[in-house]
Amino acid sequence: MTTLSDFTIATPRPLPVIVLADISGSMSENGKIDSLNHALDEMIKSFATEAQDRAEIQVSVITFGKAGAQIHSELTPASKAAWSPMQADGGTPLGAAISLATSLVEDRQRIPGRAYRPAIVLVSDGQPTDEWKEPVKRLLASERGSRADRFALGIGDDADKAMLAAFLGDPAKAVLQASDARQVQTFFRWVTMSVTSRSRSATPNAAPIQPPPDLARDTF
Amino acid sequence: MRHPSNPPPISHATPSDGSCRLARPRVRTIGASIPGPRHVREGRANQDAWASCRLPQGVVLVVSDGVGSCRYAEIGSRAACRAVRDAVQLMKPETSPTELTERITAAWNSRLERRNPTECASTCLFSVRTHGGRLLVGGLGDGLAVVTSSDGTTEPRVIPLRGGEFGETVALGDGRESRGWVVEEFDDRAGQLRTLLASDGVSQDLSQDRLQAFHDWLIATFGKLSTRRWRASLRRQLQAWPTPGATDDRTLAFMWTGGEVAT
Repeated sequence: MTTLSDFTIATPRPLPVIVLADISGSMSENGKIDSLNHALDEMIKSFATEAQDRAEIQVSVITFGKAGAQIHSELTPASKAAWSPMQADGGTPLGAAISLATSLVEDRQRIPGRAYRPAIVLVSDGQPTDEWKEPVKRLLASERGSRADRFALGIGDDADKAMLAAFLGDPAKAVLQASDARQVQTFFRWVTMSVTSRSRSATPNAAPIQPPPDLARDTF
Repeated sequence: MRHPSNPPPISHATPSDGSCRLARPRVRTIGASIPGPRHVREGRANQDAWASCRLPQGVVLVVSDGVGSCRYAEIGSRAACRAVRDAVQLMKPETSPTELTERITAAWNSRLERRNPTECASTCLFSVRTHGGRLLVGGLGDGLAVVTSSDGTTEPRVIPLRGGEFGETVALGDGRESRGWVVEEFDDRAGQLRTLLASDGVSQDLSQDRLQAFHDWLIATFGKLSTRRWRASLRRQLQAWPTPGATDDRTLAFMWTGGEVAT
């Protein structure tokens, strides 16, 4: 017998999280890539344990390094995602990574119109080695990219804070700065809390993100 | 012969209203609106509304969704239903879709009884079928407005509403009315076209590739019931919405022609 469920979508509305991860050669120094791998693994595991009855958190990781910008893990429900660690090598083709993220956000097959507002997270420890200003401008000008929640973390003193601030596109938002593994983890705990509080909210599109942590004092 | 999986698009040709009139088809409407689980839990009113009416000009079907953040959203959505009726009552055969939507906007503002329009912001989807076979379908804001044919030989026409994404929408009262309306006009002198309207609490979770089958199922399932029974039955279906996590108010209304009116 035909019922209403034959015409409706059986899964909750997706809440996409897209991480842009710098895997340039400098990330191999001082254990930075290890702490990023660990923090991402923890974040995905936390998402996977969230109840998926209101929103389905989906995660994609885009890396930028020696092989250029590429999809390290496709947009997948966190509950089904298996994390494979990243290796650091090469330059910092950030512009290409931003363009890839913009394409993903604008792709209505992979992120349908019923999805909740996505979160885009950028982590980098250095200066971009390709043209990045136009790609960032295109992301911020795009209908969907402009509405995404954006988070930015600079790792170490060489991180390009101006570039990270341009990615945020809002003077009221602060670029966070991490100098050790613990602060990287604190940053990702904040991202995790911000996303999960939205996924638990009755109105995930209207729910604000959590206040940022003070990484210097590790208060979160 | 056309392959059924690749039917032609529905014709947008406009009849000159009142001319070449065939036997008047019997236009039927069904709809229901329920508060979503969130509003039930919070003890708040349903911010969606729907209405249908028969006027000397034709049959009107409206679905409206009050913008959740607005103080008087439920008043705005009810006013939208009345505003479409007000505007259609002034309609003449030569009235253009633009004139109609301008009159809806004006009527909505006057229906608010001096309340601030921004506090009453609401979407407004409608279908108007004149007795001459002119069908106007469209609206302002998100949700679904789709035209299907009763024999399935034409592919469903989903009106490309300028609804926005990620919870943002244009609406009556948000100051963007003049560029937000989308209305399409169809020739339905043959009485073959049907309309389905839904607020975003329903449209977000519908399989877009099954709209024709969904519309067929709605008419076959509820069209044979008495008014009292279809009201209760459709409300029950909306309350038992199968998609997990759906918390919005839900409204669904549809219009079709069945048989002929004795003249």
